[in-house]
Amino acid sequence: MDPSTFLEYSAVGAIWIMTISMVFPLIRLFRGPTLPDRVIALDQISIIIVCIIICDSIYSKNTYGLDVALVVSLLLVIGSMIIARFLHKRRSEND
Amino acid sequence: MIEYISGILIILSALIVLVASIGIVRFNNLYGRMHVVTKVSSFAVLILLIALNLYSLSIVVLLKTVVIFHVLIFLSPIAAHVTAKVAQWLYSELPKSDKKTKEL
Amino acid sequence: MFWQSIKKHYFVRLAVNVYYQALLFLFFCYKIIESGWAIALLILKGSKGDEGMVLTYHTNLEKPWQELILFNMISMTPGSLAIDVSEDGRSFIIHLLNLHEREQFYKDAAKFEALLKKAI
Repeated sequence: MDPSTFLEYSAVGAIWIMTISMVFPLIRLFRGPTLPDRVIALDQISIIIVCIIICDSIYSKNTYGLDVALVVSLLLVIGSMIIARFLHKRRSEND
Repeated sequence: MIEYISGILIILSALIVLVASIGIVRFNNLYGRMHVVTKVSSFAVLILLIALNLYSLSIVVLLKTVVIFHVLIFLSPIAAHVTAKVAQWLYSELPKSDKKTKEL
Repeated sequence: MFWQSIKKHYFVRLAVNVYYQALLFLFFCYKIIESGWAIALLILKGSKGDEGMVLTYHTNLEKPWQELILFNMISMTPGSLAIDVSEDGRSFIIHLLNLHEREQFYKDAAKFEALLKKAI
């Protein structure tokens, strides 16, 4: 097989495997007993999205996808911090 | 030749992401899931970025991947720390710290 | 003799610092690979992750950034996750995934502190 077509096929296969593996964090997101469990599942979904964007930039030979991956990986951290802040504030108002 | 190694590393990284997602469903306490998200997913992203750098030998790609990797490995333990602290503070059945924390 | 005379110079000290920090970064990458592989194997073996424990670890590092790097490194060793820091930064609260690996964790943490003290 030609080397560049092998790379493209492997990138497409990796995107398929990652898309299938996004089902398991969704299960945890729906039936998580507490709210931090759901935050953890959302973190995992964001990391899978970062991996899919990097695979797509390998497939299409275009490095601008890496900027999008950087922004998504920053949003992961800031999002979980904002959810933690929100939980803290809601608990303080109820007391 | 280098494309074959790169493709095999990409498939390996996808399989590691699949293993991490299975571990999120299987583990039955919050801290175990936090271990999985912090370590196994960082490992998968590291392998994927190594594969990308093997394939495209460019300094711009190297710098961008170094930035992504630093953001993921230095900030995801902090996100796990914040989540664990809020979970400790909200639910009393989880193990408590020895002092009472009032602000994040 | 030559090394003793040149050791106090600013640029030489800077070069030694940069060398140890690069060594620290490579060690960090190696730790990520080791811990990710270990926990992936643990998931594939069918573990439920229910034999964890919480312990308190005391350090004697002086500078704040050393404590930050130690915090991140403890999160990246196989089977340990740093949860909380006390206000003076001298004691961490750590969750271990497998409670039979306590001695190994103490050995690894002592190694990190020795490496961090050299990196000034």
